[in-house]
Amino acid sequence: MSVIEVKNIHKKFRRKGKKKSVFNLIRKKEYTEVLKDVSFEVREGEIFGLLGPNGSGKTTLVKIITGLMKPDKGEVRILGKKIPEEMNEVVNSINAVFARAAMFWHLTGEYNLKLYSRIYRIKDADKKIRKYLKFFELEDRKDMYLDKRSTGELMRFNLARALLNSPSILFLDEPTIGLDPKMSLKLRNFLKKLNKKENVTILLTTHYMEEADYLCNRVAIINKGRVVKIDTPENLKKILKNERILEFKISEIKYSLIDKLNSLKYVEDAHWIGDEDKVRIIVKNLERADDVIKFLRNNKAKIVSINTDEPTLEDVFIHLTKGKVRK
Amino acid sequence: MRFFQDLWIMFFAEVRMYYRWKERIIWDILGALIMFVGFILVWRAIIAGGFQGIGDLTAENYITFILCGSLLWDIIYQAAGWQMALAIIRDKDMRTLPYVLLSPMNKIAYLYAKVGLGIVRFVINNTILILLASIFFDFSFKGSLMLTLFLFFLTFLAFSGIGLIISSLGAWREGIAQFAMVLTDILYLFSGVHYPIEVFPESMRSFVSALPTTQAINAVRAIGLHGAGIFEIMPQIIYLGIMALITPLLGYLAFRWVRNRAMLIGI
Repeated sequence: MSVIEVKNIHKKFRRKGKKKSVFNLIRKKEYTEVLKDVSFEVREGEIFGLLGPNGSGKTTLVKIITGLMKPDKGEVRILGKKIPEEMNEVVNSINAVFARAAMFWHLTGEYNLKLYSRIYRIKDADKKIRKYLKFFELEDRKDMYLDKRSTGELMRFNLARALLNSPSILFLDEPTIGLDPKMSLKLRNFLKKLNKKENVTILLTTHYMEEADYLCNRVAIINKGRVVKIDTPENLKKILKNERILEFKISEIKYSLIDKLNSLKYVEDAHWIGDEDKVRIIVKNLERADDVIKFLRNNKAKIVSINTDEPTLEDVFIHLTKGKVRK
Repeated sequence: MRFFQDLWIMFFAEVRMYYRWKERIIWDILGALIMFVGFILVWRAIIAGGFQGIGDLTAENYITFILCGSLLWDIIYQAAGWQMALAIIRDKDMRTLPYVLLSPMNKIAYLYAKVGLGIVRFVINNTILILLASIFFDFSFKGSLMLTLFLFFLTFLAFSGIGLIISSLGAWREGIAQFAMVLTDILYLFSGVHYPIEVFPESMRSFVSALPTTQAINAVRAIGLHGAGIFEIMPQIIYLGIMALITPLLGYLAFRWVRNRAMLIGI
């Protein structure tokens, strides 16, 4: 059963247009299309990921689904109710965390949680607040004003707030942004447990491939406002099942080299993993490995190590979005 | 029912947020006091120069005259002024609106809670102002306190609808907060808050008298200076009563319209 239905969503934003009058006072109305005919369904009890590079329209889409923004065309339904028209009927069953939204800065973390639990009319609120403060390791920060907290702590308070009303559908916009690796892992495990034990449907946006791979039952890859592909992470990885991945560690890598590699006929895709100084190269078959090594040497690249690898969701993602991330 | 519960919940949160810095109480009171004393000194100088009075203002009652105007103006300012519009813009800038809009909270209650904070500030500032005016100046209020409070409440309702319209527009386009400020200034200028409307030329009087702010101020001065009863200020009560019925409704419609518009741009 589908609990979220997104049908043919279109959205464009007005941008500052070119001046058209001699006095340079009047500007043309110009628009940027941020979502183009986006459709998908999220099933009950599923963790569904929206995966896309920065500016691909993920957050706009979540805002539209949660009724914070109206689409120009198309329809959204949550639990069968039309959004935003019938939002009041589902408002207690959903909650969300946005990467760029905040609770009240001039209240303490604990008072914010108390305030939202009153707004949602939550019974046993104190017990729940204590539980989430403990889980997110915020017990010793609960009495501090939120304007004094770090990004990671704010995200943890936000997550605690979003869980207070025990939503059956949870929207998470970049939920692990700003969290340290330990807390990210803890949160991912918690979300998985929440989904399994309490059958909470989760729609999350992320650009962390390992997060989508680990958490999501299905993933929609979104690029330039269009859904490029929807499938399970396993099936998505099969897109590159015939291709082979060569991973080179190169010291003093030049960015222009990636462009040159991408222009080669026998290279399906080459992308740079900047934080690890690695270049991952997708080739049709491993027989072309020699050609790649020769090419790199001819271009004076200092190869430190070479490995072959299985395709990851990140490779698929970059392949489908044509190298739009980590560049 | 939800409206009143949410209003109560958010009102306390707003008060808590504002008085996070406790010293704000002192600065608020001092601000009100300095403005009041400033006007008293101006009129004292004018009266010392031989001026005997104009309209309701006389050399004997100018302190009560000014304080009545100040009190009523403060109610109007808190209800219809740009406090609410600015508060919405502040919430928008601080990115706190998405979670509020996503929650089941009554959104009108959320806006009125911001006015509620203004009322708290009004009560604190003006109670002390009245006390000081009674002790150090010749302040005497002749009429019924209950009738005055009723008039304050009616004025608050009448102007809060305008505040709702302005704050809704402010949530859509931030620049509209400046419009609220200008509108407040225009009303201040023409309503005789700190001077009698007789200072305006004859040709302007009917316009000035027709303003709801002038009507409200005239009513409270009638109570305070002449001890007027409910029947004597009935025309003003009817005028404000009609406004109190119409403007919140218009405010609600504006809020819904603006919310739809704002949702096209995104919060």
